[in-house]
Order: sequence, then structure tokens, then C-alpha cells
Amino acid sequence: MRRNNRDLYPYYMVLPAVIIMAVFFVLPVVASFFFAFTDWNISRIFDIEFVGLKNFLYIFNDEPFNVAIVNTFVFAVASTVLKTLIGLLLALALVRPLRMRSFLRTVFYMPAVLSMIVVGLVFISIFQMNGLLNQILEFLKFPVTDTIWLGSRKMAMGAIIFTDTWKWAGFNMAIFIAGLQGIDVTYYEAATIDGASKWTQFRNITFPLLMPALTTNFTLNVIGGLKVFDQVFIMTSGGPGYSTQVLSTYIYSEYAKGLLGRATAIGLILFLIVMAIALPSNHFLRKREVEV
Amino acid sequence: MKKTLRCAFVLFLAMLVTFMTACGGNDTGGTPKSSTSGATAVNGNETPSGEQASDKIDYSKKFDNPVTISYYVGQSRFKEAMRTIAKKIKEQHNIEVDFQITPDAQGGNVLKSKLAVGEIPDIVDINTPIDFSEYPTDNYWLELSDQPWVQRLNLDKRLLSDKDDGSIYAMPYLGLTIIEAAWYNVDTLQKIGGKEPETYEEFLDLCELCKKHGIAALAMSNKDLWTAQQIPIFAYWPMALYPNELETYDKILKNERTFSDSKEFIQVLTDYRLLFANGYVNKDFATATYDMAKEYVATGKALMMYNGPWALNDIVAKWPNVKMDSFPIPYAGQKRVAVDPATQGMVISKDSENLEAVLIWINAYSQPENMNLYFDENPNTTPFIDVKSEKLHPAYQKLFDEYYNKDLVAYDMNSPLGIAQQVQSDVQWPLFAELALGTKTPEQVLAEYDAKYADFMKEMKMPGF
Repeated sequence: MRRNNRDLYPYYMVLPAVIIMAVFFVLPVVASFFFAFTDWNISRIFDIEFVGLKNFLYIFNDEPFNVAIVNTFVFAVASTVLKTLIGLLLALALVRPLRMRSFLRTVFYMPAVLSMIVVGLVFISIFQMNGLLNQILEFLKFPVTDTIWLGSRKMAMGAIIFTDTWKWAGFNMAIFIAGLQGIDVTYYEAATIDGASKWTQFRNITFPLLMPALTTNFTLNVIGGLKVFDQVFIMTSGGPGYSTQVLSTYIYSEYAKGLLGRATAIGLILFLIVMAIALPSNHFLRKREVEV
Repeated sequence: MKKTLRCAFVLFLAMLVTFMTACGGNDTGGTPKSSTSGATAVNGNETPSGEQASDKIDYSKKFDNPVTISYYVGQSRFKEAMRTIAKKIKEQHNIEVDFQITPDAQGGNVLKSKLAVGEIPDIVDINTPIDFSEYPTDNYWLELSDQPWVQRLNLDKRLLSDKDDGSIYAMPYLGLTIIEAAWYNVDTLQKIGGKEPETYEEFLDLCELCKKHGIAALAMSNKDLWTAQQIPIFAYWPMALYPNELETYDKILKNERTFSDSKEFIQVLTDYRLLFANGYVNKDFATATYDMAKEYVATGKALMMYNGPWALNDIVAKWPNVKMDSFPIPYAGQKRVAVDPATQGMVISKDSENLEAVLIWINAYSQPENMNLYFDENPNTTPFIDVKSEKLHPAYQKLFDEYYNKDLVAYDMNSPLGIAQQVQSDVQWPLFAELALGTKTPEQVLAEYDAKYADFMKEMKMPGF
């Protein structure tokens, strides 16, 4: 009797991965459900008392938390839209038979492999008052040449979103290219014969069949956006003042004070937000995937 | 399949129970262990306990096999001279040092985590006695009162401990360090036709003169948030409170008064905000770094910066042709230097596995032939009577001659309120940055800081809160 492919590998071969996942992800998350309701403090690390909802009451009444929540959502939405859109446009452009296609794909993908610290430091320099951006704008005779992008409460978050988009659009592009390459060209040939325009072909062939790639990109972007830390910490540390504070940097500031119970409570809130948004949106997008 | 899933589930539950049990209410706490890299036991010799240390130790000993000890230090405090000294000591005693250099902004957090889990480096570089409020001597550090270098100290021993019994827990490698002033570029001042101010009004006139000449009076660097506190906490508030500053800090520590109660502090923050509102600081103050501020002063884009003597030393080290001088900002009718009675020193983990090597190393470090290597590159006050810093910059020496030695000093709040350092750095400094931007009023800043300070002190279970 022919063996099913699934029987080729015994189930216990996934145990190492399960154990690592459990120890480094699942257990801490489960533990956080407990520590979030305690006064866990770095100076009394083994002396923990249950305090009920005290941490949560403090958090929800704290102004920086409200700022952080808004900033987190703004960042997640804006960066997701930009990364997905730009990634898609790049993919559509670079899936064509261009001469320098491979080179351009590499160039656009390269930022994704750079360390965020390196990218952050480079863009801090670019966004300085006498930095590259203002010099280019001055050359192009734009009137905003005196702007201190990362020192302005209105512009700082925009600068961080721009940096994040620059870094990850290429990654989105790569996933979209993989999705586009999976679409059978005969669909386009048939559509062309039937007189469909490019836009009609995109709307009725490309987009529906690209849904799996879109689902992947959207889910990764949303989760990454809600959990953002590196970009904000490196570029502004949540400043100027608290204006670019996000939930992850807020967690860090409470941890830095040694208030581990409170930091865990905020982490729990972030976890629940991510679950509440990522799971339903992923489910919604998956239902719209077209199978051929 | 079902059997495997059951096994996996049981294993998961076992790990969960083990994890929760380990994190349960264990009052005895963990056993702190030193964190060393590649340390080896000393050639069959017993590592002595702290109480017997000086009796059993041969401070001239050279180990047969290399011994590695760890030294935890913040990035801005680490100087290349330390590496030079370590190399020399290695030749003398065969002791190697693993310098664990951490970024300043995260140094405290990382150290707290290490202490909490018992991974304590052999030597830790701290501000003493300020940092003892966060890292108490009883919990972590070896008493060093019987060490041979103690006899050579030229420093108030109370700076080296959190106790009043004369015991010593830190070996200082600098003398009294925190005397703050405005360090200014002499050529820039001459170019604009200014002079050192005697009153606050003259100081503001000087700032206005700078503005007329298109340069920043003060180089501010709020990207490095620790610099945002310099003027309000050092230059202004101690002067405004003088002579009652220590009494005020003590009342705040005991929750007998709040920051908002201090009308002086409201005035201080109002005056601080005006420096920004009137355009007396560099335009990019919100994003400029500490290094950029030093560059602005050195290159004439700004007249001065207000900070500790390390800023002066860094400027003259990098721009040796720049002529620098200093003055304390005269505020509230006081022309005094702001002082934090503290120094920088090394504390030793009492559970170090290489105690003998560590004690020999720090004793060797304290010797004049080694310390002079440090002071040749980094002129500063010295902690030992036989270590002279010939190259103390005149601008710094002036502060001692004309102010400190004449008792024209006022004390800042950092040491007296050392326990609240963390809430200062994570709350107070960003609030000062918000004030500088004009997004919060002084009253709002103080109200918010009072609330956060009280909350923090309550979480730390401090009496009175």
C-alpha cells in the first residue's frame, strides 16, 4: 500500500521546534497573564504580590499610554498601507521582462536585510536640520528646508513611517513577485483576446489571484506595525517629549523604572490588541482568496 | 498521533508548572553569582572571603595562568586610557580584563537586570554614592575598608559608601567630579564682544548678543535626554533654593512637600523655557546629540554649553586648539557652582569568583604610575594624595580656586534623591524636553512629575508614600 506523504516523517520530529516555541513564546505569554496582575518589581524580583487590576487602572489613566495607543495605530495603519502599496507597485513593475530586472529587485530588497540600527542612524543623519533631505529640498527650491524632521512633534512620526516604509517595501515586493509569478499567463492571454484593458485584467485576474500574497503582507505589516519598537527607539526614543511614544517604547520605559508587573500588563494589552486585529483580518482576507 | 499529542501536552504542562513554581513567592531570592568570562581558579589557591581579603592577598603577585575578570562600564565613561592601564596590569600580574561596555542610556537597565538575576560582573563602574540608593552595598558589594589604597585617599570617605560608619565600598578613580558650569569658547566670546556675566540679567544680555551675531548662546542636545536636565537641575534650582536646597530635597524624599510646592522650581522652569522661546539655543536642540553640542561650541556655532567637566575634557581632547573658559550661570542672585557630591568609582561584587585577582587589579590600578596614564589623557581631580593631575584644564581649576574652595557651592538634587533616578530619567527628562518644545507649561510638567514620582516611590515602598 502506498504510504501517504504525511507518514514519511514521524510527528515527534516537530518536538524540538514545539519545545523552543513553547519555552520562548508560549510560556512567557501565559506567564504574563499572571505577572500583569502583580506588583513585580526588579528590586523585589522574587517577592511578588497580587494587586488585581491596579496596574491596568494606572495604565488607562496615564496620558503617555493614550498617546502611545494613538501613535501605535497611526504607525500601523500608515506603514501597512504604504509598504503594501509601494511593494505592489514595485512588484508589478519588476515582474515584467526588463533587462535590469534582477539588479533592480536586489536593490529594492537590500534595505530589508540591513540592521535597523544602521538604517535608523543613517536616517537620523538624513533628517537633521543640515541633513541630506533638507539639502535636497533646498536644491529643489522647496520652502521647508529649515524643518527639523525628528525634532518636530508633527513631523517626527511621519519621518519614522517613511524610514520603515523605505526599509520594508522591498520585502513586500518580493512576496508580491512570488505571488505574481504563480498566476498562469494564459488568463492574461485569454483576457487580452477578449479585449480586456490592463486595469480590468488587474482588477479581475491579478488582484484576486494575488490575495494570498496580500494576506501574508498585510498580516505581517499589521503585526509588525503594532509591535514597532526599533525604529522609534533608535530614531526618537519616543520623543520629542512623548510625541512618538508607541506601546512598545512605553513598555520599555516602565521596564526601565523596574516596574516589571506594569510593563507586563502593557505587554498583555498589546498582545490582546494584536490578536484582536490580526486574527480577524487574516481570516477575512483568507476567505477572499481565490482558488484555481 | 493522539499518543504523541498527549505526550507533547503533558510535557508542556510540566514546563508550565516548573516555570510558575520557579517564579513563585520565594523570599530567599536567588544566589547572586558573578559573571565572568573564561575566569579560571587561581592556581590552586583559595579565593579569600572579603573579611580576610587583605590578610591573605599578596598584592604584588603575578598569576601563573591568566585570570580574566569582568568590568562593567558605561560607554561615555570608558576611556582608552583604561585599556592601556589594563594592558600594563596584565604584564605585571597576568590579570586580563573583559570590559563590558554598555550604551549610557541602557546601562542602568542592563545592570539592574544583571543584578536581579545574579549575573553580577566582578567590577562595576558607578557614580558613588548616588548609585548606592539603587544598588545598596549590603545587597551586592564587597567592603573595601581594609584595602591598602584606602590610606592614600584624598576624598571624603562618605562619598564611597551608603553608610555613616566610615566603611568604604568603592574605589574611586576620580576625585570629586560633578561640578557644573557653562564652558564657553573664548574666541567666540571675544568675537561677539561679550564678557562673563555677573548677574542673570547680564547672562540674558549675553544670550541676546549671541543671537544678534547669528550664533546660539547655549548648545542644547535634547536628543541625549540626560543633557536636558543640566540647566534646570544644576544651574538654576540649587541657586534658587540656596541655602535650603538640601533641606528641600530631604522633604521631597519624605513626601513632606512636592515639586509643585516649590515656587522656585516653577520660576526655574519658566526661565528655562524662555531660553528656547527667545531663540538663545541651537535650532535643532530637539534632535542634536551631546557630541553635536560639543562640536557647536568648539566650532563657534554656539558660545557655550552647560554641563560637567567631562564635556570640557572631551572638547579640548578633540579640538586641542580651542580656547575654553568657564563661569557658573549667576541665577537668583547666586554666583555659585552647582555640585553633586559624588565621584566615579569601582565597586566589587562580593560574590566574585575571582576576588583575589580583582582586589589585586584595583590596587594596581590605583597606583600613581597607572592612574597617571588616565589623567594624562583625561585631566580631572584625583582621589589619591600621591596622584597628581598636572594637566587639569585652567577653566576647571578656576572653578575650584574661585568657587569650590571658597565654599561658593550649591547642591543639586541628584544624590539626595538618588532612589528616584530612574523616574528622573524616564519621566523628568522627557518632560523637560516637552517644556523646551513649549508643549507643556511649567505647572503641567511639575504636576505630572509629582504624580509619577509619588507613584514610583509608592511602588518602591518608600516610607512616607
